[in-house]
Amino acid sequence: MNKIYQSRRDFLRNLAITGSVATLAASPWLGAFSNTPFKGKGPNDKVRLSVIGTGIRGRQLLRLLFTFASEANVTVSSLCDNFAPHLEEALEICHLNGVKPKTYTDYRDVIEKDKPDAVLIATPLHEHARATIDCFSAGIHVFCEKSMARTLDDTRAMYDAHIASNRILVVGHQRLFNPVYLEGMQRIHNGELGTIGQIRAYWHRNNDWRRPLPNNDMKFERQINWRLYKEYSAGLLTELMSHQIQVANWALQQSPVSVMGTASIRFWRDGREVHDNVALIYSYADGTKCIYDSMISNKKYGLEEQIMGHLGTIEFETNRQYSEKDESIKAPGIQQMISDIENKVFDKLPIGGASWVPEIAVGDQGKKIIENDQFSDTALQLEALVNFIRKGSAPEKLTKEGYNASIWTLLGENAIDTGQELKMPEKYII
Amino acid sequence: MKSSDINLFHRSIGAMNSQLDIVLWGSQTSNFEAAFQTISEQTTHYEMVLSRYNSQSELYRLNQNAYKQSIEVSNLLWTAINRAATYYENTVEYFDIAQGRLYHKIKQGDEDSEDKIKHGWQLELNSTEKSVRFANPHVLLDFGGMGKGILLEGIDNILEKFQIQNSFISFGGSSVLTRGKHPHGSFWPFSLSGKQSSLKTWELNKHSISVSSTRTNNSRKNKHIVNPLTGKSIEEEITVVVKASNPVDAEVLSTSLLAAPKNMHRIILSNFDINEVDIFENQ
Ligand SMILES: NC(=O)c1ccc[n+]([C@@H]2O[C@H](COP(=O)([O-])OP(=O)(O)OC[C@H]3O[C@@H](n4cnc5c(N)ncnc54)[C@H](O)[C@@H]3O)[C@@H](O)[C@H]2O)c1
Repeated sequence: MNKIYQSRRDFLRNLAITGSVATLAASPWLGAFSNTPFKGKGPNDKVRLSVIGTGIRGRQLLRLLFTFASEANVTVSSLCDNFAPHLEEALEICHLNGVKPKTYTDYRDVIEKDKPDAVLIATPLHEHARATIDCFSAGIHVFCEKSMARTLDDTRAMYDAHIASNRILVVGHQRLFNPVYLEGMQRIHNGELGTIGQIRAYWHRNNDWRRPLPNNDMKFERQINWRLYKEYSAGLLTELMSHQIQVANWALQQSPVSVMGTASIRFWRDGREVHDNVALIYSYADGTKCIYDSMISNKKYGLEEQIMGHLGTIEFETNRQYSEKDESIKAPGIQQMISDIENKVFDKLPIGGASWVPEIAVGDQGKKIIENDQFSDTALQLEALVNFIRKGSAPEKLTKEGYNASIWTLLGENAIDTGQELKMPEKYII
Repeated sequence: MKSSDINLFHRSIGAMNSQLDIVLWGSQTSNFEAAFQTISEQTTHYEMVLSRYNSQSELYRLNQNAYKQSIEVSNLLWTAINRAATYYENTVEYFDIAQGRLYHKIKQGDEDSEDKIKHGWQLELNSTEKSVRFANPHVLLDFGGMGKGILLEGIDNILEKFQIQNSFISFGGSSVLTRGKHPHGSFWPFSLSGKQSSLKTWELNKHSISVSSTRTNNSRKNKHIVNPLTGKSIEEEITVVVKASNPVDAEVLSTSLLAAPKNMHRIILSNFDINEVDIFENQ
């Protein structure tokens, strides 16, 4: 497979050249990022992973794993999916990479028969909790895709099982390992943007958010399009917003104190149960607001998290930082005059004209947060995960980020459903 | 001259909806930073008095209230308004700061403003109280054709105080004030930007130059020069360059000569003490 991004090693080597290593190293969970080679090269040190749920995401995780599997001495010991075509496609990817995993249709067989070091869970949302908790009971580490669970109680139960079993729980919020975010967050936390007043975040698409059914057979509808049904998913909130509320909390280094929201099925009235149009406001104790919306009938604005402080703005998805200061743009002619003078040239100064106005507000393209942005954050997260597994632990802060983002995502759903401004119930505070 | 002796100093600040470039050189290097700071502060202060757009400015409040009642104003605003009154006379009414509402409407593309025009000076000035009252509700004071000149005049005083011999101060290329000379010549050789640069080179020492055009150098056709007596914007492409010893004179005149029909130019010019006037058409 062609690498379209850099491995952790390449990335770190390039960072060393551009001089941002110190910043990245200062980030809390980047011990796992440090430039030490993967330890444990012997066959007995091989980390054995199993992928449970080999749909679109599960197979993507597989492909990314194989880009560094031999270097990191990690292998895929088994695959599990209850839908045969998906299991076969995943097996195909493994075969292409010379790996022959066992296959199961029930995740309990993964636990009892394969006994991997860790599982990557990429089943539909409502299936995350029981697989995760059962793995913990069997002493297996878990990487679980976001959002954590379909219900608040399941989310809490997953967290409690992680604590009780002392096994790793990493939630699939890959931006936590994205160098653009790591560098940008460092700047935000160092006060470069000043006092943050608002975060605006949105995710807009223009499609029906459906996947095609095999032979157009409706009996597969709920298996394939589970994200459209309330029983399995909270729709745009758990599938998209979860990432962005995690970013907002991370930027502000706190969780919200309340959320209110409203939503509708405005455009795709095709029998789905989840909203295609949502708007929420998260409030933080210091007065900061995170204003969120998502829709899937217009894609002009795409997706973004805009962190807005009185000194500047960061837009993470596009790797951009803007200053509120009047970044002095040189008037045409003046620059030439300066260099003429420095070069001892005496020539006419073509400066005059009907007032030249620097169009700072419209023309300000900002600057990149980091120059080198050719990487896959999910791959970086998986590489870090392998290091965590070898070590037997992951930073608790990381798990808490995933937990709080998941809880506040579901509280957002409750706020929409009840029409009330909601706080976090005591029993979900960790 | 060796370039190490030049001690070139360059700073820019945003002001009057434009950019102010300050270029200094010469022996008084220890004064450059302090002079720049003073200029910055004064510029901010002047804008807080004269800006029509800033809702915190003195002018903004005057515009809001002076039709209802007579308002006392600061020395700076009082002087500016009185000078504008003199310019109104000297330009035979073609320079009129009281028509801000008309200028604004035309800029918005509303050419149908003829009925709003009130001929004659529309301000009642009480010099013992230094107070101002508008004679009708359509009055809106706009120092757009004069403010940069006032700022440059203030800057000239600061440069004098700090004994800075050589300077080139430019407001977005349209209002320029110079002292002394270019480090490698006996004057500052000023020309127009872009295609017009070959037209002429002005030799500046202790001078001011103001460039006004019926077109802004944004490519969009931009109606911003208005004949206050007819309420119509000027359609022809004309650029006026005025070189004078006083920056306010230069600025007022470059605007007035655009607004006034050609047959009025001679009479307007006779009321000013200026060095050079150039009018370029259809460039
Ligand atoms: N981090 C990210 O950027 C990202 C991106 C996409 C999806 N995801 C997450 O990944 C998860 C899966 O999403 P997807 O788009 O791949 O969905 P998908 O429907 O393509 O894949 C889910 C797979 O799980 C299988 N499955 C269902 N129930 C199962 C069970 N009980 N046991 C075993 N397998 C079972 C399905 O057959 C299917 O193959 C979701 O939680 C989603 O939010 C994360």
